[in-house]
Amino acid sequence: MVFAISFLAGTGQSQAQIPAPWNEALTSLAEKIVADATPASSLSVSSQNMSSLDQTTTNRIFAELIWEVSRRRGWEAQQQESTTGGPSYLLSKNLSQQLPADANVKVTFSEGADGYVWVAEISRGESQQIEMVSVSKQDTAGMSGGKPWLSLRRNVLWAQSQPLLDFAEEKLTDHPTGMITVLEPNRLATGNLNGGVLTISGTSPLTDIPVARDLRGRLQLSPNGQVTAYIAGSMCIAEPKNASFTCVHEPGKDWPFADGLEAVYVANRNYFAGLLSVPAEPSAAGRPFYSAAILNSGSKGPLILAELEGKSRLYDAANGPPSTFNGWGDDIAFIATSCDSSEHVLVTGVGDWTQPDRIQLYEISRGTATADGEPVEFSGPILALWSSDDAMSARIVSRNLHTGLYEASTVSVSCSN
Amino acid sequence: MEIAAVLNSLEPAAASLNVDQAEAQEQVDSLLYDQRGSDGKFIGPAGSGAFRVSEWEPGKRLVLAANEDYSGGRAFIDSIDIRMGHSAADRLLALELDKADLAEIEPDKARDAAEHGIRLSVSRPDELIALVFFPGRSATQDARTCEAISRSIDRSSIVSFILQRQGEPAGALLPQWSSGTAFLFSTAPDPITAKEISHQISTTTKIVVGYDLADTLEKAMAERIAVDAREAGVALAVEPVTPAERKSGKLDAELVRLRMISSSPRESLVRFVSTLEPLTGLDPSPVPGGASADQLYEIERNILSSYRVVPLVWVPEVYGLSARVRNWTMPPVGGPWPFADVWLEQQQQ
Repeated sequence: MVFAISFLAGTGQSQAQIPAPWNEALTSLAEKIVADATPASSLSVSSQNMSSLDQTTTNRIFAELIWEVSRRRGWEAQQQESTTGGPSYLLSKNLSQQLPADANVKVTFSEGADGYVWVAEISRGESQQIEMVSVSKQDTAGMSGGKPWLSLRRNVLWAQSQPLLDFAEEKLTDHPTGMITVLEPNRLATGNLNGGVLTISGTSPLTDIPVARDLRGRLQLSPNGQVTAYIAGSMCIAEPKNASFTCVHEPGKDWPFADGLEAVYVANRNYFAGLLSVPAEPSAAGRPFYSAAILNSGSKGPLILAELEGKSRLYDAANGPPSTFNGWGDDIAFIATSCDSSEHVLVTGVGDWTQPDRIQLYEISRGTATADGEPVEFSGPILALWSSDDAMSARIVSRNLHTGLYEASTVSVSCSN
Repeated sequence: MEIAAVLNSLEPAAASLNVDQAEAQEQVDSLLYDQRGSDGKFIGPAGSGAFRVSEWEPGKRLVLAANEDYSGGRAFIDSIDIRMGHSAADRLLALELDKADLAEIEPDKARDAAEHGIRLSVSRPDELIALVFFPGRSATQDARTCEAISRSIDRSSIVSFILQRQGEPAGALLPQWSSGTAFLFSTAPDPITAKEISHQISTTTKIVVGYDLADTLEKAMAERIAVDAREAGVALAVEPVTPAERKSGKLDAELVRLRMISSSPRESLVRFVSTLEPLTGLDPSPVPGGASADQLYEIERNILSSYRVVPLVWVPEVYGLSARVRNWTMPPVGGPWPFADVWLEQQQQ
């Protein structure tokens, strides 16, 4: 599986993770690479690690280097298959033209007795140039050691034989009460969850729901207890303490996303026609997508769309043209952590409904993504992934290929130093 | 209690390079002296260190006794009995028969020694074995001849079959762990290009490569190089020489050993350059103080681009230890033997 690993170019907080002398060295190396590669219009940049730095650290440094090189030439970056053991990127002015690279750069993270040595071998045609920078090992404090180690924790709530679209836990002052609202293709149900068993106490049929392959739905619980179910192009609302639900069938009903964004759901299909009016990221508006992760960068910040051709794109105008991530599944979701201020998304795998799946946590920074921690494996395909209202966790619906049951889980991020 | 240490004086090599003798002397001095001056030389009276000289038979035997008044604390052992001038085979036998507590073992014998139950202490590869071409020889006047030989050498085979994997192929003057840039120098053989070059040269003059008469490792390597060179179309013969014969003028090249004096790439490169320049007639390559990694890389590249110096393999220091030796740690590159911290376990009768 190809990880869409890209490297932290660093927000204000992320820069603390790469010591300043190392940033200076990276900047110097990037300038040398750009100078030696000129006038190449596209660049293939690969990496390998021969030092005692762990792969995650060198991946971060490489991401910063990619960002520095891309920024200087106004290039887009796209991950490509690697044969060097480390990540590899294609940099180009216009990736959509799919032109092959006319220069190659091999970056080696090496180490000698005096410190780390980062080497770039730049090949263009018959010529080859070698550039290198040296960094002291004494500046490693605050690099890997300063960053909390993140891990995903999955909690399976229950499993059922009927297909499941979404679920919502009722909470009282942030604590689950045990009451669950369940969204299924043909009904809404409420029940009590106890010991991994969901006991249904009330149901309401959903009628006139458009027939669609891969039906999708999402629940929202408002603080006053109102339940809103978005299912395909319909919306159903249940008022507090009302056992029945009122469904409003409105074709092309907009689904709400974070930060006040809305998207038009394409009737009879399983994707959205596009976000309506994205003031901070105009280029993201109107692009069809399966799922979206709105990053918590403050109001109207960057966002990632899992688009229809199998690629995810990060729209972050402050950091240049969109970044493309390959090898990500169709379901992505923003998730917040209490570990640090960095931004993370959850990403599913690229398998189909006959295969096991996984959720990988990625840290997003300055146009790049770095896999963070180990993925959580699932025994079957993940069918739905939604951020919780406070974004501190995510709801997951999956199907266990061994049992055939639909499983409702939550995933959160834990951190340790 | 005595520790009997059998060490090779490296005399055959010392005569030609006049380096290893000094290095052995350096090791002994580090036991005899307590301090170094700012210039690195030992200062103070001999015997102010952890040991003092008890007996001395030049070239044969040196006995050091513990200095009771050493400021760093009296050594655990009472004395060190150093025997010199023994062959590698004799040193190994002494270990096997428990007649020695510590002995230097040739890297290519390390595997056999381990299979015979001898404890080994192995350093990082810190000694370079290189092929050096002498200036002013008609057979190697054309640098392309040297290049053809260099490209023909299968270093990996030397490491695998001759060194028994106790070492690594060398493409640079400094090892990867020291410079961090050795990977930029290829170690792969290129027999096709070697043949093309040798055809361009079209010389029938046989090149004579010398090796240390007493060094079985050098002999094996020289013979392997000759095979590789002949397959590339270069006539090459090998000849064992004594230290006195090394300067006889009948050699076109020889195998030399260059041991690092420090883990610092700059310090070791300075030493190597000072040794190689008079041997090869190369133009001086001053190594600036505080040289950066890329500066050191450029100096190496310039020297090696002449093909007058052909790195072959990096080999480690290997010591065999008797069962009773405790607390032995491999000294750092260029560092002193840690005899003051060694102690001997009482053997059960």
